Amino acid sequence: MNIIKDLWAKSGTINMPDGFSVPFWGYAESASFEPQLPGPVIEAAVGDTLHVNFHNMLNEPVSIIFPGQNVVPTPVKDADGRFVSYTAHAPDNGDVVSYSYTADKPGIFLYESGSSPERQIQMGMYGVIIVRPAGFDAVNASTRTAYGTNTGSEFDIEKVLVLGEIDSVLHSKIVNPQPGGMYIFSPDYWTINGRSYPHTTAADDDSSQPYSSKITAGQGHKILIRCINAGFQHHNIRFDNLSVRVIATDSVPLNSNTLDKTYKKNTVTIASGESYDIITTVNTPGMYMIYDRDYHHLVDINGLSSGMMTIIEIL
Amino acid sequence: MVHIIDLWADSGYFTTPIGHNIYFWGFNDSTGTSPQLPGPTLILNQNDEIVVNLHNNLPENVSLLFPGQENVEFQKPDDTWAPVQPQFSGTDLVSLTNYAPPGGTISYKFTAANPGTFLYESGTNPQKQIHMGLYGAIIVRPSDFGTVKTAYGQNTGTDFDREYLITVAEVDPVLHKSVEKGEPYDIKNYKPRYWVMNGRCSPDTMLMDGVGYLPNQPYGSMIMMEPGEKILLRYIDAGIENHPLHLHGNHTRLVGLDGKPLRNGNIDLSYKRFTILVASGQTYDMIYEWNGLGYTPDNPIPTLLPSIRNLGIGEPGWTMWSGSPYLGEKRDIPVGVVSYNETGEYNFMLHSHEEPQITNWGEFPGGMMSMLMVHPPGTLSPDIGVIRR
Repeated sequence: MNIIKDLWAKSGTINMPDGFSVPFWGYAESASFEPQLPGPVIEAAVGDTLHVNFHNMLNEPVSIIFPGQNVVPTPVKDADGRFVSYTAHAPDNGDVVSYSYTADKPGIFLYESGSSPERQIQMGMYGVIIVRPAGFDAVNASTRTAYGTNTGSEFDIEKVLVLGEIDSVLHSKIVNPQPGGMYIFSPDYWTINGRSYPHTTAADDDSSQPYSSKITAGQGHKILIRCINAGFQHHNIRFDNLSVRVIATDSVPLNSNTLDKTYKKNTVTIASGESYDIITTVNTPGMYMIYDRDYHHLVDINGLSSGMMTIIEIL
Repeated sequence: MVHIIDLWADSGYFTTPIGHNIYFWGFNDSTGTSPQLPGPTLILNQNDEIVVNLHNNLPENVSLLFPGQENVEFQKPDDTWAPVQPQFSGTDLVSLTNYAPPGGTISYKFTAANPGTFLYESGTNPQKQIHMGLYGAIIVRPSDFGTVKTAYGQNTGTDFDREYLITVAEVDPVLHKSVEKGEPYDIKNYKPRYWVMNGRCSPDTMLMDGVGYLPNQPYGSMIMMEPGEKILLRYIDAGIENHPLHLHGNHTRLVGLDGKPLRNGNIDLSYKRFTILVASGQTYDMIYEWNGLGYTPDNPIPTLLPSIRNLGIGEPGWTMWSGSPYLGEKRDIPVGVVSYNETGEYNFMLHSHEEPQITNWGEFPGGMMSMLMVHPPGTLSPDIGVIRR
């Protein structure tokens, strides 16, 4: 199957729980839409060919890289041989660049900026691609898996949690060009799916931060939580009062037909760019917190609970 | 069996090797005296029902999280038990779990279902309270623990002869001072100056358990063993940074994470590491052996000796070196050098490989550093390498 996706690189604004709004750059699904953080989730199946047409509405080169995917990048260098983009780019406002590749393995992958990535990814130019395994059928419990049959990855409920940080001062300096750069990077917001707690627990909406991070499940449901770190810092994601089983890292399943290398954890360290797929089953109703054990990432400037935190609610 | 534990949250002072008295909050197993850093090590037996009564002598709400335990309950005012829940005021999260108000008590209950190494820590204002010292360790013994000592039960590849527990953390003295004076503290200014093992900075880490002049830091981090023994090392990170802990002399075999054995049925998932990245809120169980790479009592010079370069300690001119390559023999050392070697043992360093963490307020040596001593066979008391509360 061919999947055709058009994305526009645009400037927009996101809102934080302390009442501040922060300028950001992100991906929009049409020239007239607001961009969103993270970018639209792209879903494909193994064997699908993905075509992404990327439209530049910013005033600098933009490009997309697809880490972990079967894409051969074609770097763009300047006259002095320095990288401008890790792959083919749309150099100016109004330009379009197209990428296409065939998804060859299941998993969860980032798509993110390949041009000035140290600034553009921090500005919000990241999103997620979910690749379904062969034979996947969302309404059939036996084939509703993350990595195919016999990988221990059957699930009832799925939630993608994209981790990130925001340095709001840096964002303002980048949109209103001022001196200073990434060497003063000092984030003041920590986000899951582009939102800080308690916004993480609000429902999906059509704002520039459309994705909820709240997980609602029934007793005994197999909950697949797909954590992927789009930020630059590592994060130690704690699952309070729960044990979770790590079933894949960087979209490599730990359970093959011959060897089960999955393991249980309570807290999982996820480094920049990494992904962890975990499964948990909860039998006691109630609220269970998920948060960064680096508790400095759980408070805002007023000391109130905020940041990289969300809730599993078992009904 | 029901195992009832009482803990008091209280304030006190701990000291660093450069003479700094630091106000802290900690747990204590009696009231009216200073708490300790870290809190009392809770040694539990698998399948016991554990009741922890937390008494709050601090001026704000305090609670306990038991990461790695499941189905934790708290006692309601009507004396019935209910699952612990995060506590909200409107949409504000005021505590990650049920808490005791100042002067109050809260009781938690759980079954120690699985053996292993676990953390207990405050779930209220953790960015302040855990850093202030409200953390401690839990060890759950496997149900078949006895003459053969194991971390995770018979036939799990976790047999050991001696065991050591090292809980690491960081200390920003300005945060502590702000809490002591009741002044605001901006977390953006967070800057640790000390890195602790079991609440002590090196070289205090190398002192024995319970030394009199560290009354509130009772746990040492000196690892002592004989050749051929299996040593169980239990690391816990109660801090927020990740610490690459590195032990010289041999690789360590990682056998458990977060109190879960690295084993699926008969499949052994354990693996060897040179350095373990001890990450925030997580626990690591390892088996360490030192066979001297050829050492036997008949061949007392192993093929690989500790690097003398690594045996300096404290002031320039101090050393842990015995002066002899033979295990168990002491010989002359150069004039002007002070040797702290005791029995002709070999000494290997244990330290964070993030070198700024082995300083005390910027001065090397210090911080997250200790030693592993290999003593001559038959010289080490069986009381060494036993974890006590």
